[in-house]
Amino acid sequence: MFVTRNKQYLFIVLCALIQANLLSPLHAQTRNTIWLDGLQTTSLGFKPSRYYDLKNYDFEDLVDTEFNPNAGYNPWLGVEGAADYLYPIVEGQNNVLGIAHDYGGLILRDLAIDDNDEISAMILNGVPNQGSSAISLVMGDSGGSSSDSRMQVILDEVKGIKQDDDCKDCNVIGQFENWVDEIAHPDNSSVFSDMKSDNVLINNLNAESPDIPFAIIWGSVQGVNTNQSIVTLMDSRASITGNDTELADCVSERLREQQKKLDDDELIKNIGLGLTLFKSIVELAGSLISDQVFGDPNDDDSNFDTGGFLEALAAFADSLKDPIIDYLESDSEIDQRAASLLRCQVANQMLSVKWELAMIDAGGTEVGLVDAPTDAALPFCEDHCWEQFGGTTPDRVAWGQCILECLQNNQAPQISVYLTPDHDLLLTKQEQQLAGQANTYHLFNHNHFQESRDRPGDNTSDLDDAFEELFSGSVSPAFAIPQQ
Amino acid sequence: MKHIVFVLGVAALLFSSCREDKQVDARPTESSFSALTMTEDAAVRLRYDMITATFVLPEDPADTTDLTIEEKALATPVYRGKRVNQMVYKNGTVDADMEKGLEESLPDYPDNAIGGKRAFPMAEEDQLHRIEVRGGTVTCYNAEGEILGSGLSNTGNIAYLQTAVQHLGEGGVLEGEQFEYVLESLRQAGFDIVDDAQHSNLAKWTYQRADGGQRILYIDKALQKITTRINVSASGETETVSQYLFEETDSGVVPVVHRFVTYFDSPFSETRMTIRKVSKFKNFEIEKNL
Repeated sequence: MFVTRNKQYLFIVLCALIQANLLSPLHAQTRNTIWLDGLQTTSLGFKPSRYYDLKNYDFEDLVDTEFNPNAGYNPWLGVEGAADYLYPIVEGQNNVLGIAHDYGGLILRDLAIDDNDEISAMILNGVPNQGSSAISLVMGDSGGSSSDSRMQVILDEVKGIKQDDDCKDCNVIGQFENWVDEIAHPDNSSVFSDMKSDNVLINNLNAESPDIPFAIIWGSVQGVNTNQSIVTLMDSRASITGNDTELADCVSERLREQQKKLDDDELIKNIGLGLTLFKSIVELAGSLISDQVFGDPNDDDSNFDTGGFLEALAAFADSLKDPIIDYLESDSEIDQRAASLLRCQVANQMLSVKWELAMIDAGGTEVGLVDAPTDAALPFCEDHCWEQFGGTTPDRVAWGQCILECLQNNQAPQISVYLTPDHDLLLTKQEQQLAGQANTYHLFNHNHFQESRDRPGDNTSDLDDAFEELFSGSVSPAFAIPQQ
Repeated sequence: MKHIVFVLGVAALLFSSCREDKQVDARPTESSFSALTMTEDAAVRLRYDMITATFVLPEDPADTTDLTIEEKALATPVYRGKRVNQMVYKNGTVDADMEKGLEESLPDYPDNAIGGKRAFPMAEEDQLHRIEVRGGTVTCYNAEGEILGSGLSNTGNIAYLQTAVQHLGEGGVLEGEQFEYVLESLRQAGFDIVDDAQHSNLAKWTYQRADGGQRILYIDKALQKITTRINVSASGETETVSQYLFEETDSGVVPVVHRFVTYFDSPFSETRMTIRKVSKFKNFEIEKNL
């Protein structure tokens, strides 16, 4: 009897356990995760739903940042403040995988140091693990009496050049300036200071390698057939998907128009190469001489009437006075227009070069030498002859002769170029790295905003491939997320 | 000279902007870059290749040591090569083909070079590769032959160009002192032309612009061509310098180099800088049928 009753009790208990297991809302295999976006100024954030709904991974996002960016997570509290604010969300949880972009990665790293091992693994995507030189430039002091940063001062000066020349740039400078101003704004400076290279927070985070497995995903824009620049960076910043091209399309059209104008004016000026100076006057002089209207200037005995000859030419030249003045004014305007267009181009180059150099340690810039064909020697000759005959009072005749002689030497020049490491238009490759990683993934042709998003219309992407490998657990079980 | 002005004006109007109008219709490819050849109704044909480099240097070589690294990076030339074939017809129309090319003559910069390229690169399919002018219509193409845009000519100016073409004569170069008579006639017409103090083979023509600045032309008396054109502002600052360098060849005097210089104050080191646009001519041909 006792044995039969015990069996009944055992059967009831077993059934209850089985039922509880089947009905539990948190399946035993479901992975706990936190997806930490960066600051809205520098990150579009993740779309975790893509990996849950489309890719069918089975995970719980403990921080539902997709629908409420501040649900338990507020990066604007600064790295340490945000980590402290976030901790109650993960406290007591088991085996939490942290996935973070941009500033969110610094928060995740800080959280992983101070938690009670709730965070068991990290995926760091586009994270300024070594700080950001570009952010340092944006926030750096201009050194003058103005409270503006050095970058803001440069932007003002570039804008000045463009305004003087009425450069039409689809407000690229304006959009870039808005972005820079947001970063450098006094209300935001304490937060963005955490991203500066060589600041105390970064140094503290890097004092020791993380003691949990982590993977690095880094983006870069270099390579053949990429057209990324601060234009596409601003496009991505204003885009939901990170891949809109409204600004790039506008700029492309403006650049084509500018190039077209330069080419048009060049065609016009070069038509003049086929014409002899003041041909009509020359022709008249020639005909007067050949017809010996005033005698033969080459025959001393013919009593050439110089005065009459000159009077006839002068009267003719006088009749052409207005067209000659029109020509001089038009010719002058063509050169002024070309100068204006060139200054617009160089203003864009100044901004682009300044920003690229801002991302690297300028003192450590690598210089390379590029061999060039002999046909490309003209800048070398221009430079060489300018040093001898240039300056504020140049001897242009000697300068020109020097160039012709230099070209005849048929030298194949070597051109010095400054080289930049791979970067995503905000962070270099090196700034995104962290020693001790389980694996590294490279998002080719992704600017910083695009790193946490996927190409529209694609069911797979570089980021998908990285996550797929990590979530499969093949790199390490620490990153595994099961399928639903 | 009015004919030159009209040629310039009409050509400028003809080469109107290519508005964004991307189409997918591909232009049939041609084995040569231009099909334009001299015909009985053509007046002048110019054909040449150009390799152009644009870069930045200080106005004064002595300022080189003060340059920032950004300014040094801007000294890396941006290269462009193109082929040009342009026709001026007796009826006043202009046809032209201009095509990007000559890549074998250009340096190959590494992808991670700073400078040496346009600031905001365009997608390949958006880049202007070829321009065709036909019957007053300008059409722009990308490298795939897709139309990027087109524009219309101002047909009202064709009459002026017809007049201009009528004045394009064969005319030879005057010898020796005979050209001095031409310059003297211009002096007597009221223009400020003097012999250059530094170079006796040059005449210096100074014209006071309507805006208070000056246009200074240097005329090579032997070549009987304007070789240098300078714009000076009303405050006395040089604004632009445009200089052609010529060589005598078996087929006559041909241009070899064009230098164009303009100025700006750099925000980096506050140095007065120059933008240099230098072009090398190759394979220059001129045909006349006047």
